[in-house]
Amino acid sequence: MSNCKKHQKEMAAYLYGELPDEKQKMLEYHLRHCPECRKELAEIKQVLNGADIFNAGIDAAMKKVDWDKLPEKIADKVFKEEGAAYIPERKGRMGAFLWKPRMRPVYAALFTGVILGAVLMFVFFRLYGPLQTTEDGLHFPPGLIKNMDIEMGRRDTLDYLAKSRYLLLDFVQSSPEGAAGFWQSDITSQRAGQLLSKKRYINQQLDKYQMAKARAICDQIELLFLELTQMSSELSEVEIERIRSFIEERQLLLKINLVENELEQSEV
Amino acid sequence: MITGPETKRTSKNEDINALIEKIKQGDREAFMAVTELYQKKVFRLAYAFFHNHDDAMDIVQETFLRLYQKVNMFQKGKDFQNWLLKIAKNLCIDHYRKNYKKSNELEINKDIGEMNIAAEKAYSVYPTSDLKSIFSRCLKKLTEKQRLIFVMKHYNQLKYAEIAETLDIAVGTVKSLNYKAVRNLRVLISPYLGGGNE
Repeated sequence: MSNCKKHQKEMAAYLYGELPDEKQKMLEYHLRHCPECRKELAEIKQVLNGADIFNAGIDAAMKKVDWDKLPEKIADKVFKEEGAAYIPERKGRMGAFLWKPRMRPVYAALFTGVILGAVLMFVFFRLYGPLQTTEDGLHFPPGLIKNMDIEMGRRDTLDYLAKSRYLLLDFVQSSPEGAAGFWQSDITSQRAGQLLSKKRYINQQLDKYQMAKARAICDQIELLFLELTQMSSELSEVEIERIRSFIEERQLLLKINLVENELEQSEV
Repeated sequence: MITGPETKRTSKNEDINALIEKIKQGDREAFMAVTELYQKKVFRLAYAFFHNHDDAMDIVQETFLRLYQKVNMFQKGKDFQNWLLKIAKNLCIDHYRKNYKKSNELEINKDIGEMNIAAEKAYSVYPTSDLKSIFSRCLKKLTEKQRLIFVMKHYNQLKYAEIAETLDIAVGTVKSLNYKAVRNLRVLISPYLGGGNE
């Protein structure tokens, strides 16, 4: 059936004698064996013959025109007595290329880009106000700089809290005998050291943007890490148990989690 | 020396190019010669498109006026007839959109009912003039592109490749649109040809 459809699509071209030899032979072979397609071809032929009725109309209309005088009549319109009424357009190849209809989408895209840019600029300045010059001579809207600062502080704090939580979890989950060794290991002391120096850095941001809750929990973590790193060489099982119960009593891990959630939700 | 069709075509193109160069210089005789050569082809296209003598004459005149205005944009080596028919085709579409589109849409909607009633009559019952007007109405129901392609193929007897160049589309697209035009015409016209509407 799909074969028939393929052949039927070629039928008009066949009747106009515009089918390549090979395709023509294939169609003729198919027609010999397919009565459906023979019927289709006969109907298409009938339509084209019907269309020929109009050819007579065209011929009759053409007889009414004085073809000998028409060129002169048109030339009179083009060339008036004083000279050419219509001056030929002097568009070069570049001009012709730029005015081609296929260039329209390019112009439409450019136009849309300009309009969109203008709208975005308008919205941007409405939100952030006029530009402010920084010390480096860069121009930014004041609101934007503040928002970027807060966002960076928030992200640093989140990073600090997450890393601290992992370290404390590792400590809480280590066995009572291995806990002392855990704090004496190089990796742990390196991790704690990094967190302590990061804390010094985020202190300023926490104060500046009044993140009090985060500041309180970060201070507690800092104290704990200080104590653990200083005492790591003389940690007894009793000391370790005391620190573990301190973490559990204060629900430090849960609090860290809550503050983390709060900070994540307050994205600028 | 044997002169085949290829040689004839080349020499014809050379002649046309010489005439065009003269038109660029403002030569009236050359302009009239080109008009004489192509006026009937443009008329045939426009008349088959509009089925109206006055519209066809307007298109012929406007096409040659445009030819003179745009003659500097014609690129050497291109087929002049295709370029000229492209101008004529654009004018036909503009003229149709400006003067007929709305009224034709109304007429098309009105005609559907009438045509179905008339469909009961047999092909032979219709005098030729009626069939002409029926065919003209059916042709108007085709989309602009299908109609143009059918007119160019059937009434101007252009090759698919020539139509493709004139309309700036692929030969395959021309073939397929012409097939669609014929198929649609068959559906529209079959009640009048006595075959009944399947």
